[in-house]
Amino acid sequence: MGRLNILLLALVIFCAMLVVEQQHEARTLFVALGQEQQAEQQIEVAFTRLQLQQVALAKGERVDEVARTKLDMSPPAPGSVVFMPLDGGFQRE
Amino acid sequence: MSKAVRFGGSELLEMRLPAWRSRFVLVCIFLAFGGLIARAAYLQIISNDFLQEQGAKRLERTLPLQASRGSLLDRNMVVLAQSVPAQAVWYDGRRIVDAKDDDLRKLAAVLGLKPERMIKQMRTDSKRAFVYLDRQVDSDVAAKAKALKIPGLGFVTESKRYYPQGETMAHLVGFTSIEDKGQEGVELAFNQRLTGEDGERNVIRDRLGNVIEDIRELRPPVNGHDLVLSVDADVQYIVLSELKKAVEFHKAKAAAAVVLDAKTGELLAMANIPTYDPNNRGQLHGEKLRNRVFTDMFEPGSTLKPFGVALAMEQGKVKASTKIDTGNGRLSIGPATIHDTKPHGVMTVEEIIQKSSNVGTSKIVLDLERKDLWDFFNLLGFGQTPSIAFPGSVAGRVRPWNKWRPIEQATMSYGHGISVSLIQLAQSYTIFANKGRFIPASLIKRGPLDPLVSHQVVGPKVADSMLNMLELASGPEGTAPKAQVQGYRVAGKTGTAHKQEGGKYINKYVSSYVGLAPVSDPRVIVAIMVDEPKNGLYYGGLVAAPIFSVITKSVLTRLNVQPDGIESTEQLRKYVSAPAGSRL
Repeated sequence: MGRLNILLLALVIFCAMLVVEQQHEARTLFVALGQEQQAEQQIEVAFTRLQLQQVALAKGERVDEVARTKLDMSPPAPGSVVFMPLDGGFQRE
Repeated sequence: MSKAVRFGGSELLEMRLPAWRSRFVLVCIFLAFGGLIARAAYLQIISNDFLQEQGAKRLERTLPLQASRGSLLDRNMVVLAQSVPAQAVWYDGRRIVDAKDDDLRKLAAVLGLKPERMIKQMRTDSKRAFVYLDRQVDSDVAAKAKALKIPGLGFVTESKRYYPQGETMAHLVGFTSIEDKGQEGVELAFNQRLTGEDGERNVIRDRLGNVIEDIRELRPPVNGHDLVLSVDADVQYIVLSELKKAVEFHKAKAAAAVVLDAKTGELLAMANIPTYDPNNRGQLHGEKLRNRVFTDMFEPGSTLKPFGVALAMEQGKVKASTKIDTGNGRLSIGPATIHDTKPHGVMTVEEIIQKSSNVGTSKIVLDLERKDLWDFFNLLGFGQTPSIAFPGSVAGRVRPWNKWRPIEQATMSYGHGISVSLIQLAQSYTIFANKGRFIPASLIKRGPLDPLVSHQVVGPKVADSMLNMLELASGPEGTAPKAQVQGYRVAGKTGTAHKQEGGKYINKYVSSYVGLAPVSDPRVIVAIMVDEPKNGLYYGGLVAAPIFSVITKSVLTRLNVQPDGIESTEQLRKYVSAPAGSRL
């Protein structure tokens, strides 16, 4: 009887320790999860920023300026524009 | 072994002490235990709630989960406005006085503030617990400021709205306040749909401030809806840049332009000069914010002529070929006289539109019932608040028909004594593009299955016949040959209106042009208005029509519309059969 009690007591103490250990583990993992979520958020923000940057770089105003100044391009003069037919014959409508 | 060893012995043990003493000690110990048990019971059972609450107060935190405002996109999903999380930096004036000046200087450098002013301000705020230092700071900048570990400095997450298209989209998109509420334009019109609902999360934090447990189910934030507008960023840019050039050239006070999809009424572009950059908060006031397309009315002048004439045709009073005598270009009604720019004599209705004769249209319209004309204007949306949900849209001004005098009925036929907004004028031209059906302008991109709201205003024959006349008006013999576009057939009407000041017409002008293209199957309606051109030119045909031409050309090319007006098929054949090397 006495021995069984001692065994049970040991088991209880062991389980209690496990609970503490598991709780700690759970919290550590939770913190890690939180950090990852934060990182995810930061990446999302960075993505949004890059998207905005892309839009700003691709907007008409800038393309126009780069084409004119850096690439030395200009719209074709009216006389030099020729319309091509879609398939063989010329389509009037 | 003779000598006995005494291992222990105490005189105390040999004393016969009274039994009550040991019992007394025992009772004391029991009482002490009882006290402990009572205390434990008190803590665990009776004041349990209170203690748990206190514990929670020390460890539990409610964290706000920020919902982001919906983005604005153009019809091709190009971003027009987007919110990015940012930080507001604040300080507790009572604690920041302990900060080192060196650190504060570094802080000012990080935030881009003037150090002397900032520190001085902090000193004067030494009794205030919460003062904003800077709003809408980028997260990485805020992180640098945080790293300085200045006592009394705090950070709050908020969001910052970016407008990557800058001034190109300013008047359409509008802007938000620093608290992320819509203030102007689409941001205001659709504020409710764009605004999200913040959520929250209850958590336990450890002593290091890490979140270690969620204690209740979190309430997730509901982000605002994204909004896809009907506008096309490329078309918008074309319109704005051409308009800008024109305003500079004509030294005009202002100008505005609208491009509508002729088939659906969707707004493809809407530009105003002067404009502003919504990213630059310091700029957001004054005349620049004025949106002439929606919130300004003007007397449209001759751009209104096709409508009175169309009604007369619809009622069978005239046909395109009906001859009308405009005499010497003068028509007296009561004390007033209506003038033409020069005498045209006898003209057909077609020629009256082509040459834009005030006398001719007046004669035609004076034959109509007042109420019929008034009803007709209402059907076209004049005098009605536009169904397009834009903040500050004006209804325009059409006086009640029973108060019209004959002279007013006559002047209204050529767009005086009646006020409209540019968007109203543009949308009224949908009847010529859609066989007499009126399609109201709209801001949001249509889905393929969305029903198209429209109503028949005139018969298809009348509409087509008027479209032909409008094409003639922009032809070599018309008032606006400069409206022509290479490769495309265009139709439209010029307008030149005197401005009114203090109830009198003065020598300042509003020059306008409304046109559609390509005539064989209209795709766009373009309306241009130039306010007070001061470069010597002021006729709509010379000021607004050329702007129409350049804008329409670029827009049709951009929208991949097939040319319907190539002058010479032969020229093209020759070109196609030429040897490859000679091309271009």
